[in-house]
Amino acid sequence: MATSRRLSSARSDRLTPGRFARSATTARLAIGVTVTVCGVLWILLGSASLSWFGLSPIGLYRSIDQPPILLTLVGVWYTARGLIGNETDEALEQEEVEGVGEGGGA
Amino acid sequence: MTISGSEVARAHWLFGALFLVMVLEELGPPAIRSLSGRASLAFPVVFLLAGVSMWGAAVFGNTAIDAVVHSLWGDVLIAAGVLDLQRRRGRLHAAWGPLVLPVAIGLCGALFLAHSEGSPSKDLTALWHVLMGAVLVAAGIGGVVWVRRGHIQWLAAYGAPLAAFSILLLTFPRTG
Repeated sequence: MATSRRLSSARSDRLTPGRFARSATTARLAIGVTVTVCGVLWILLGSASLSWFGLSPIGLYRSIDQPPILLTLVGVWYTARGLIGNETDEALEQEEVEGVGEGGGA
Repeated sequence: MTISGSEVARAHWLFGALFLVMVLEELGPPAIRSLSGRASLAFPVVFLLAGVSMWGAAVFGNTAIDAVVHSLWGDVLIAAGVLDLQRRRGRLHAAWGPLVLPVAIGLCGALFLAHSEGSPSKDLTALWHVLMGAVLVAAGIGGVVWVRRGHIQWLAAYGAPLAAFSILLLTFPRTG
């Protein structure tokens, strides 16, 4: 069983380990996928207005700094972070279960 | 030296993406990794970055009001970023500490409204500034209530206008 931990960030009050944490992961993934899909749709619908500025550093920056691409990148990052967080959580919970078992409970 | 409308729009888009990252990271469903006990520094870091950028915008502002408002934004964002950073690092224990961010956001919204030049009905960028100012003021009020009441329902009143602000930045019209 997961134990409560104290955080100093503003949202620490909202964190509840265990089942809520799992639903939070699902919600994060859903939001991430939604943002990504919106970005991809925006790219497809607005492809005529997108430009490619070349492979130089400035060109790459200018190519990426276009709203549909930025939105897609934010969505991909958020989805990836949710997936990585999920794996970390499973490892944490496994450690805690083993710890409680060995130590005779909290 | 002046900055073209296209470059101004690009700066807004990039900041919009950063702001969306910050809103999702801080106010979205909590990251599982947060259970490891470390406070997120997304808000103060983005505030400090934005504050420095605002000073840059003040230096290269095309008009006097541009320069004045951007420098004031820089002051508010850097002060709020530093205070919130210290709060999250456990160095600031004042009762008003959690109010710093929402109050700063509300102040930035008021400055957006002051920054708006031209008629919103005729000028698209003026309309965007009014909309951005309005959602920031709404977010500031929602944030203050959320901090005071502590109910998760008020988080939506804080987070939704901030997400709307990100989208407004990402759709900032390119002129000139």
